[in-house]
Parts: sequence; C-alpha cells; structure tokens
Amino acid sequence: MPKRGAQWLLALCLLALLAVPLTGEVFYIRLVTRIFVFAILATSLNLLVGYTGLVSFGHAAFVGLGAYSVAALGLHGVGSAWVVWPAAILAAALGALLIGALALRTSGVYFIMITLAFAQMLYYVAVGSARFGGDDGVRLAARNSLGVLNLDKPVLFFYVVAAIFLAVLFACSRVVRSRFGRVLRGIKDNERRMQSLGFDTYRYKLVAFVLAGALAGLGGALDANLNAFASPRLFHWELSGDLLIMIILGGLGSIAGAPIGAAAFIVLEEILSSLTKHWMAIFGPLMLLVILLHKGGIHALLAGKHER
Amino acid sequence: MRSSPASMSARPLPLLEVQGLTKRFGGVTANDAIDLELAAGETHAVIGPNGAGKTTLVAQLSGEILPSAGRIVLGGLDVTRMPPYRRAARGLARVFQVTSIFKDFSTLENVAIAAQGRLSHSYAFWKPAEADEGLNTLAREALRQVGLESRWSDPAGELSHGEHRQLEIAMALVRRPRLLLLDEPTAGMGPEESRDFQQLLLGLKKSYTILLIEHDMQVVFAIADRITVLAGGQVIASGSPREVQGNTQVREAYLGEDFAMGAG
Repeated sequence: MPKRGAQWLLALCLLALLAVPLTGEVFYIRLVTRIFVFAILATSLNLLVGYTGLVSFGHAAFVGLGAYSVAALGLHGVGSAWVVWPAAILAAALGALLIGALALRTSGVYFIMITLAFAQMLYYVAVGSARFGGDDGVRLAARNSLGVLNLDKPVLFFYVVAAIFLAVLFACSRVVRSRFGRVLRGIKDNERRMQSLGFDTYRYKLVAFVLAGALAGLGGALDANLNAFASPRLFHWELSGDLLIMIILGGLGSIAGAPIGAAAFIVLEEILSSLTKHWMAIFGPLMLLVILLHKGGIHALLAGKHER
Repeated sequence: MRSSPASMSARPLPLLEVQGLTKRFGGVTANDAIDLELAAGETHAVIGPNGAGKTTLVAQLSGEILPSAGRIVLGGLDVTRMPPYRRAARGLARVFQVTSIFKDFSTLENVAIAAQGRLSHSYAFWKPAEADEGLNTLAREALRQVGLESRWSDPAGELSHGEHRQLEIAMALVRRPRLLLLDEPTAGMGPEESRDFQQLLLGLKKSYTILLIEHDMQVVFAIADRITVLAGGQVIASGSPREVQGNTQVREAYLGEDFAMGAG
C-alpha cells in the first residue's frame, strides 16, 4: 500500500475510534478508552526503545507510580485532576530520575535487567503495603474531577483521554524531530560516535528516561481513573512486557507505530481471550508472523516501507 | 626549524603534549612512556608496524581508555582523566579508523548533528532540527570542503567507502577543531581513492593541526611535517621525515616491510 494510502487508512481508523461513543455501548467506550491509555504508555516507551535504543524492561514502574499517586491522594481526599494528574506525572518523573540515574550507568542486557529489578522491587513494595490494600490494590471512591466535567460519565472520560492521547502523540512527534530528538536517534545509532562529537550521552539518555517515565505516570493515572482502581499489577513485569510487545508489533521508532501496536494488542487480546483462555498461544504466532513479514511492524507493513 | 630538537624549547606552548603515557593491560605494556608534542599548525604522523601500540595511543588520546600513567595536555589543559565528550568540547575531533557514521541519517544530517555537538547544548525539544538553517548551512559548507555536497540528501549508509571517509572528515571539520585526530584515514582504500584522499589531506594541512595515525607510507611522507615511530609500545624515533627515514632502528622495526617506498 502506498504511503499516502496508509496515512488515510490510519486517519480513518482514528476517526472510527473517536466515533465509538456514538454507539452508546459502555463496553466499547471503555475498550477504546483503554486503547488510548495504552497508546500513551506505548508511545512513552517507544521514546526509549524505538528512538534512543534503550530497552527498558521496567516501564511498568512508572505506570504504577502514576496510578498509586492517584490512589494515595485519593486516600487523603484530594480528587481534583488538576492536582492529582500533575502529581502523578511528577512522582513518576522523580522515580524515573532515581532509577534512570543508576540504571543508565549500565547498558545492554544489564540495563534490561536492572530496570526490571527496580520495577519488580516496587511491585513487591506495593503488594506488601497494607495501606494500599496489598495484593488487592486500592479501589478509588470516584474518578478525579476535572472542573465542570464529570469524568464518571464514560463518554466524557473517553474524550478527555482521547484528547490527552492526541496531545501526547503530537508532542512526541515534535520532540523526536527536534534537536534533542536528533541526539536521541544519534545515540541509538552510534553512542560512541555521539560522545566523540561532544555529547554527554548519559545526560541526554537520563532526560529521555525521565520524559518517558513522566508520560507513563500520566498514563498510569488515567488507567487508575478508567478502572477506578490501582492494582499492584501495574508495577508487574508482565505490563512492561506487554508494552514492549505493543511497540515491537506496531513498529519501533515510528510515532504511529506505538498506538497501532497498542490498538492491535488490545483488540486481539479481547477477541482471542473470548475464544480461549490460552489466547497467548494464538497471539504469539500472529506476532511472530508480523515481525517476520517486516521487522518494522504493522506500521511499516501498512506504509509499504522497504526493509533496510 | 620545527624538525630541529634544539629549537623545541623556543617554541610556544604546544597544542598537544603527551608525557610518559603508559598503558598496561595485565602483563602487557601496550604503550610504554610515550612522549609526543604537537605545535599548533603542525601535521604530525605516528607510524609503526602492527602491534606497535597505535590503537591504544588513539584510544587514550580520545579518552576511551584511561592511561596507567602519564599525562595528556590539550591546549594547556590537563585532559588525562576527561571523558571523550569533554575532550571533544575542548577542540579534539577524531576521525575513526573504522567508519563511524549515522547510517540511518542523511549525509547532511550526519554533519548537522556534528555541528550541533559543538553548540552548548541540544535541549531544544520543539522546533524541527531538519529545518535549522544555521546547522544546515554549516553542514553544507563542510560537505563542500570535502567535495561531497552533491550527495547531501542521500542516506549516509548508501555512500561508498571513500565517500564515508570524506563524510567523516566533514563531520570533524564542521566542529572547527583545534586538533584533528585522524586514525588511519586511508584504511581500506584502493590506490586511486587513497591518492584523491591524500589531496584532501594536503588541503586540510594548511589550516588545521593534525595528528595522523597512518600505515600508508606514501601518504605519511607526503603530508607529515614530523613523524614519530612506535614499535613495541615505545617511541623509537621522532623527527623530520628525512631524519626518520635515515634511522636504522626504524628500518629494523619495519624489517620485511617496504619502508623505503615512502621516499618515492
């Protein structure tokens, strides 16, 4: 399919998703809201894996920090989204700063392992914390309030999340083309060379890590709002793995790739898991097929890009 | 004048000063108390047979490995313990032995990112870098200097081997370096490519201080003002091309290799 055709198709899919509330079916509205939330999460991870070449296997840590920030503030009676969501972003950014400052001293497999270890550590902290319900997580009394908008109405929440997703996507598409983004792409391609050109690559990677963590925190806060629930599973490595699968499936290092991967993953999960509880046995081979067809994932397949 | 040891003390502060540089890997001494001095404007070649310690020397000069002993002073500042990016900021531009470019970038973007590295920082998150005409102008100018301007829009991965070397030079030049560290720039080139490249280097010699690590004797003798010869990790000779050529120790070190060829 020619590139232009693929763009039209993607725009059409987006419009179709945005029109889902017209069906009035709460089930579908929630499903697509979930797609947008995960599209934000996948996009944030794509900044690291796809653009900087940093394979983080602990991205769930920041999703969990965002969600638990909502829960923690909720326990103290703070429910305004204007306060809670920035706080969630800040908490995740701080977490990313600390974890990143240490993890980025390593690279390759060690980096994968150390990010995984940090996230699992937070998972066990969450599970062990009686205040936050331990294993059971925290049920929220209500969604956060956003001025006059009542986010407990599924349609309103849907459009708020959709708007945030579009804003995040637009911002990221600017960032990866900026001078900063060019540095990230340079680091992915040839970090040693970047250093010899005078770039303090550690600091640029740390900034990218914090940026991605902050966005994941926002996504985590939205997820907690969607389900009115903060689960310790949001810290679990399975979520980190799912996010990695999404961006690989959709296309690493392309802005459209991450949301496409998130949508494909969630829709397939929904369909296949209704057929069998061993849905991963079907999903796995399907994913392999896509990657074998084109290592650039679904987005590259649609756009008819040539293999490099 | 430069070649005479007697006049050395009268020279101004050297741009690069290497004193007693030593690197041991376990029991092996790869670099053994190497001394080297480069005056501004000079083209200084370091030659030596395989295993002489040239690669270790380059890695220490660029900061990728730290010395066991000794000092490296660049422009009057001790850079011995500095990481590579800070040496680069102090004006050291390295051209790698094995082509080291950004293959997914266009030719122009390769040079533009090098220009970007010279600026104070790249924490600019919003404006598209490709539309940064300040960087692009610098990059085009550097591409023109090396004769690669017609390939500016091509993906760098698609250039030929010789063009890759030209691109590497452009990436170094756009940084307005105080010292060009050329690590075997003609490695892997055919004779004809090598001659063309020699012309390019002769042009650079006029306006840059160059430390050239090279195995092609013809190139070395064509462009070097001074030559230092390494063997077994030690400096065995240093001086003008003529002095070095007449040195019997050097001839012994190159036993079996056609050293005299360089005279031609």
